[in-house]
Amino acid sequence: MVHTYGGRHAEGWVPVEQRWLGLDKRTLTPAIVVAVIAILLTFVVPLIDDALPQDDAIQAGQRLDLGGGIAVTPPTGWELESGIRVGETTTVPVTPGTADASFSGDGVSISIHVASFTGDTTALLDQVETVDNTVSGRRATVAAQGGIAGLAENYTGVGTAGLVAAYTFPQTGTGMTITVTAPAGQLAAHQKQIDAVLHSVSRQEQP
Amino acid sequence: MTTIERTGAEQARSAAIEASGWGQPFRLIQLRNAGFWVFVVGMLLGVVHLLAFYEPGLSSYAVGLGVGALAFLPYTIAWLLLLSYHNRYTSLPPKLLLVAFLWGAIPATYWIALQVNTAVLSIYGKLFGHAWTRDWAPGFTAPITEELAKATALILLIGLAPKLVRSPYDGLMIGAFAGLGLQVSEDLLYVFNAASNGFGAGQVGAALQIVASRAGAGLVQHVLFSAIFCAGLMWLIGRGEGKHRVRGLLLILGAMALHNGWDNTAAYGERLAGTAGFFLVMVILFVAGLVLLTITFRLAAPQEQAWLRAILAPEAERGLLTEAEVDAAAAGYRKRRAYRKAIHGHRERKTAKHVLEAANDLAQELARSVGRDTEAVEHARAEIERLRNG
Repeated sequence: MVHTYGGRHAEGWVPVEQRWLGLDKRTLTPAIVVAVIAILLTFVVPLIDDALPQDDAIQAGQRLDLGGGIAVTPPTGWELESGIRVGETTTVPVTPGTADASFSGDGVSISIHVASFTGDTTALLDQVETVDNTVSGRRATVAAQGGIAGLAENYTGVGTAGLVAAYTFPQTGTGMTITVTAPAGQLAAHQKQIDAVLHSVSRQEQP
Repeated sequence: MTTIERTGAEQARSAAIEASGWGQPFRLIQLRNAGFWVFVVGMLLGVVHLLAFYEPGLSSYAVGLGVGALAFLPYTIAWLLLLSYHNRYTSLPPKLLLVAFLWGAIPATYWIALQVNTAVLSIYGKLFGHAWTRDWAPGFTAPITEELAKATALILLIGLAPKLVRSPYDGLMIGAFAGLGLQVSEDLLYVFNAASNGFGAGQVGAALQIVASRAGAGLVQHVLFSAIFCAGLMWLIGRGEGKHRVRGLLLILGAMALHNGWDNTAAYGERLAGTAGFFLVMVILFVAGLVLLTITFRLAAPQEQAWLRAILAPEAERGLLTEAEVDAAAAGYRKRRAYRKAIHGHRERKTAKHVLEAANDLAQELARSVGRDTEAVEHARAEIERLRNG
C-alpha cells in the first residue's frame, strides 16, 4: 500500500533512525559489498602484482621460441616479462602468434609480435606506419641469421625513442615486428644489445 | 463500515504478490540509496577505462571495430529477445534488466575485469612461469574475476530493488543480462585486439573471424555462466524458498568450472587427445553447459510458478478460469504446450492459447494493483471472457 503525506509518497521515505549521512542505512550492505569487491579487484590485486618482483632473468644462450621455427636471442641478464624459451615444455604447442614475447633491461623494453602477413618487409613497415604515425624515420636493412633480412625504422615519441624492425617469412605467411622502446637519449647507449637482438632472428624449418 | 471476508485463496494471492515483489516499480535514481551512488561511480569509472582502452587505437582500427559492432548488433538483439522471452512468471521490469546489462557491459568489463585480469595473469607469470601461464592461467583467472564482476550487478540490484529481486529465478535473469553485457563488450574487445594483432592489415577479415568464433561459442558462455552463478548466489545468500546453500554453492562452482573449461579448452584438449581433443572438449563443455542451465531453470522455476498459481487461483474460485487453465498459465513452456495439445479442434486450441496469455496479463494487472479490483484488472478479466466467448 502506498501512503501519502501531504502529497509526498511514503515510498522512498527514510525513517530518521535509518539515516546515515543522508543515506538509507538499510541500503549500505549491498553497496559496501559491491564496493569492496571492486576495490579488491581493481586496486588490491594490481598492488600485489606491483609488489611481486619480476624474477626471470635471461641466462646466457637462452633463445625465445616465437612459433613456426622462429627464434630470437634476448640480451643476457634482462628480465623476461612474457614469452617461451626454446626447449621449454608447453601443453599447447607454440605456433606463430601464440607466444609473443617481451623483455626489458636498464629501462629499455623490447616486444616481439608475430602474426599472419603476406607482404614483404617494406609492406609490413608501411602497415606499421599506417597504424602508428609516430613511426617515421630512416629505414635500414638488418642482416639476421640464415639469410633473413629485416627492415628497421626509428621513431620518437613523447619522452621516448625507439625503433621497429620488420621481418617476413613467406614460407609460412608470417610477419614479425620487434619494437624497442627506451627513454629519450637512452637508445644509443644500448645500441649494441639491441643490434644483437635484431641480428639474432632465425628460422628453422619445421618438421 | 463493511468487512470484506477474504478467502484463503485471496490471502494466498496477497502473500504471493508481497513475496514476489511483482508489480513493484523499479526506480534507478534513488538519492538516499547507497547502491545508486556505487552505480554512478562504477559507470563513470567504466566509461573512463573504456575510453582509455579504445581511444589510442580508435583511428587505426576503426574499420575492424565498426565491422565487428555492426555484425554483433543483430546477434545482441537476438539474445535480448531470447532473454526477454525467459523473463516470465513474475517478470522483472525491463529497466532493471537494462541496468544489469549496462553494469555488465561497462563497469564489470572495463573498470573491473580488464584491470584485474591483467594483474592476475602477471602474478601467475611471476609465480609459476610463462609457459604455465600461457597454457593454464586464463582458466584460473576469468572464472573468478569475471564471474565476481558480473555478480556485482546482482548484488547492486538487490540493494536498489530488494522487493523485486526475490527468487533464484530473478538471479538467473539478472545474471543472464549482466553476462550478455559483459559478453558484448568482450566481443568488441576481441575484435579490436584482432584488428591490432594483424598489424592493422585485413581488419574486416579479422573482425569477421572473431564474430564467427565468438558468436558460436557465446551461445554457451558468459550469459549461461552468470545465469547459473547468480541463481546459485541467490540460494547461497538465502534469497530463495527454503535453505539451499549447498545447492547455491555447487551451482556457483559449476558455472566457474564451465568457465575454466572454456578458457583452457586448448590445454585440456591437448592433454585429452592431442589437437583433436580441442573439439572434443568443446562438445563436452557445450553439452555440460546446457545440462547445468536446464537443471538451474528447473530448480528455480517452481517458486515463481507457485507464486503465479497463487495469484491466479482466486480466479478459478470465481469461475473465470478453470483449475487446468490456472495450472497451465502458471507453468513452463512444456506444460502449456501439453495443455494446448490436449484440446481438440484447431479453433478451440487457438482460443485456449489466447486465454492462457490473457490469464498472464490478468496476473500482471493483479500484481500491479496489489490484488485489488482496479479498472485494469476488470478489463483483463473482461478480455478473458471475450476470448472465451468469441
